[in-house]
Amino acid sequence: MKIETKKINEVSVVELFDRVDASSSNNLKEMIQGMIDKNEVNLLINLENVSFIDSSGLGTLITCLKSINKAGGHLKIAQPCSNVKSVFDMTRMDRVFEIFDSDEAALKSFGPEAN
Amino acid sequence: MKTKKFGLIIDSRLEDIHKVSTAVNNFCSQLPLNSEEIFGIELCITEAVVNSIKHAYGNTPGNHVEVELKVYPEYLRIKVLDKGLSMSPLQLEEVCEPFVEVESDGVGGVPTTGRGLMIIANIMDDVSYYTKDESNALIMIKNIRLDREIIT
Repeated sequence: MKIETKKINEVSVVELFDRVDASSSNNLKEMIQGMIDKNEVNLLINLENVSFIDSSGLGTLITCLKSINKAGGHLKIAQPCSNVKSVFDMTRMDRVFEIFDSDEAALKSFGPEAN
Repeated sequence: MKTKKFGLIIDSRLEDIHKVSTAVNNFCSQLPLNSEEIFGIELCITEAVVNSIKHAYGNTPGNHVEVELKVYPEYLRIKVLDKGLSMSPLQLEEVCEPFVEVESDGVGGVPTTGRGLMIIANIMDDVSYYTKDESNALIMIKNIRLDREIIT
């Protein structure tokens, strides 16, 4: 899984590519923990280029969400394709994560202090 | 008449999961299935194989996980086979356990694991599991509508 990051004001945007699954998701967990250690706790994870996610990948995102919340931050999801979004829906994780159709809408939801 | 089928054996390493996904995706792409159906089949097979690697073999490489997919006119029959520890009979019945009420428990109470079987049960039309001759088999049935001839 390829990961790209950029900073937009106070929000760290993490763009994931290809697959978020059992074999690739540990890298993501370590990277997010590194960001938390640097006090980067407002995270937007963009899934636009992710074509596949399984329950292990979802579990990793839940672990990251818990860590971010514990650190006083926010983790939001943007632009999952319909197949990836269906995995959030069928496991009811659409109730756990804030999921947005666009980066703009997600960034706006962090509030004026982060923008 | 011969039933169209697909088979693959991988080593019990999570790093090899992509081999299964790629092969299943390629095989299913030759069938008259839409992208949503192919995604669901690939996802369920991935979940079943990961389950075998993690739980039956305890993440120990050097064991085999076998995947077999047979195409019938009205359904797909998928079998994932391992020779590791068997699943408890209750596990298949408890697939809905991770459905927690977030409002009452908060995010902290949301489990990070245990959704694989739930996903399989959600997508597949029938799921069964048996152990015979030291082999564990997860059988998944997906009803499909085939608009063209696929039996060769």
